[in-house]
Amino acid sequence: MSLLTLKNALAATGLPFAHYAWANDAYERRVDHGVYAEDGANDLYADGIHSEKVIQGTVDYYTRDDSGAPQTTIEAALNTGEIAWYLNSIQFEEDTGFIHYEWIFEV
Amino acid sequence: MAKIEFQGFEEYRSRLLDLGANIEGVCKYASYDAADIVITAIKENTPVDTKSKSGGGDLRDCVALYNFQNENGYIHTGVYFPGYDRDGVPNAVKARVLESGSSTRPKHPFIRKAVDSVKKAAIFSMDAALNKKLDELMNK
Repeated sequence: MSLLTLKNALAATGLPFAHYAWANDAYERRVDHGVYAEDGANDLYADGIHSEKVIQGTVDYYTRDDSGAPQTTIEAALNTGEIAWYLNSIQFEEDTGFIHYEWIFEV
Repeated sequence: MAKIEFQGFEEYRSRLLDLGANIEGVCKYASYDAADIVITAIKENTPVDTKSKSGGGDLRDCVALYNFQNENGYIHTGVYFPGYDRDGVPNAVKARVLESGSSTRPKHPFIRKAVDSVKKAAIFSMDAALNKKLDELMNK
């Protein structure tokens, strides 16, 4: 399992996702969008040996859809991809009107 | 691991009952050093906004632990960011925006990275403190 698994899982949702950042900031401000980014490791060591490589990061989705449907879709896709995750926060951005979902993942 | 010596099962039972009566204090004692390790790491990892009108540093200075609590046997504490900075912005909001980012600001996950970096040290600290306290209580 690698980051490609995550990329494919998110692509399967049909929702717009970019890696790290969207090239066009104006696009981000206008429509629902998601970003995923790796930012650290949580490797496993056993008997002094680097036995498992684990990449940790975040999946963020910004939406004005308050039905909860995007959350359900993304979490189902992460489960289907057998990606370890937890929902870290849900916030409302008053200035943009976006609901911001943030998940932590490990692959 | 704590070593326990006793003369007969009645004494053993008596010590276990004593321990049971004091278990909340024992767990809190074991958590103090671990909490200190975690909050120190978070403080060191808290970014200082040098572009802030106040000169930055407010967030780092206000990192605090709330009182240890017991919820159905689950002893816990946590980090929070009380008060407002000198620009009138709630520190909790600043911390949240830094940690999780927003649609217009990049994230800077200083809490998660700090906690991950000292997780093992905190667990070892709790283990050592717990064994020390158990030794004291069970062999007095």
